Amino acid sequence: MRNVVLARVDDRLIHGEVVSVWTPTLSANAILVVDDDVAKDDFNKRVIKSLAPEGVKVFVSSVEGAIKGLLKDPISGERVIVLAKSPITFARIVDAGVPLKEVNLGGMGLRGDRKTFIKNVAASPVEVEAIREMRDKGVHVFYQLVPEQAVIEVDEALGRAGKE
Amino acid sequence: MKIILVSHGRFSQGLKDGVQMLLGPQEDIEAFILSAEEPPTELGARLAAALSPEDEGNSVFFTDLYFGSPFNQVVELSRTHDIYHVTGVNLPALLEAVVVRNSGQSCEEVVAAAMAASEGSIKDVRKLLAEQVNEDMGEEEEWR
Repeated sequence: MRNVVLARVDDRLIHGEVVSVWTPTLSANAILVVDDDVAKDDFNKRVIKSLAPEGVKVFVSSVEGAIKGLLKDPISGERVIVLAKSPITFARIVDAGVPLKEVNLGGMGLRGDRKTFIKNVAASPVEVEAIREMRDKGVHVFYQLVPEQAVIEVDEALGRAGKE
Repeated sequence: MKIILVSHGRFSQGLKDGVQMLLGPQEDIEAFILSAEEPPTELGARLAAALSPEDEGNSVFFTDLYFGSPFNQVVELSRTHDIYHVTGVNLPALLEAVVVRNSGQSCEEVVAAAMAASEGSIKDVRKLLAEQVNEDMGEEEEWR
């Protein structure tokens, strides 16, 4: 697998927290945005690429394309942040055999059938299942907005969501 | 280490709100507002009163405008107090300063981080997007 330093669910994709805080903290030099819709939208793609912090390459890829690249051998010196809008995307990536160790839940806004999951992270029933599925496969799924804040494990929230 | 924001109007309070929205609740960040009604020297007196002996050499001031009244008051304060002072603050600079401060680094390092973060932080977005189009027409980098 390529050297993934952070796999993060954030429906804002590239924004302040990722650019100003996570990227320098992790010394990341590549950001891979995985989203089928954005990959097809040239304007959106252009906006996202223009947000690239100095010295960081930004890639936008479909889920399928992302998996292909992630499964390749690490490239010397590369440090990748992978961003997706939903945990379902990461569940697909893990399903395809990409051995992600951790998935960080950063920002998931309340919309559609999403309900509050942990703090400002909301998840739909399908997303809760995707989180559960990844955790059952041994992926460490956790909530953390910025590196300075403490990690919150998803277990309790999964228990709550299961009882409903 | 104390971070003290001083501005014309409520900008300093807004900066503090913005930092806390992004980084969560923060300790030791104070915002001072100069209102249109307040004589600047009174602001200066309030700033001096907020400094305790342990803040000497251990506080960084951020003001909004080079040669503005908040700037002048903080410069005046530095006659009698050992303080660090950066002017022309914006959110990118302050964010970086807070992160570096929280990681336990020195005032010199906090100031350096703020200066570095401010560089290039103001962008002409229309131009930026147009440049991106030109880049795309060249060799577009694909994730492989």
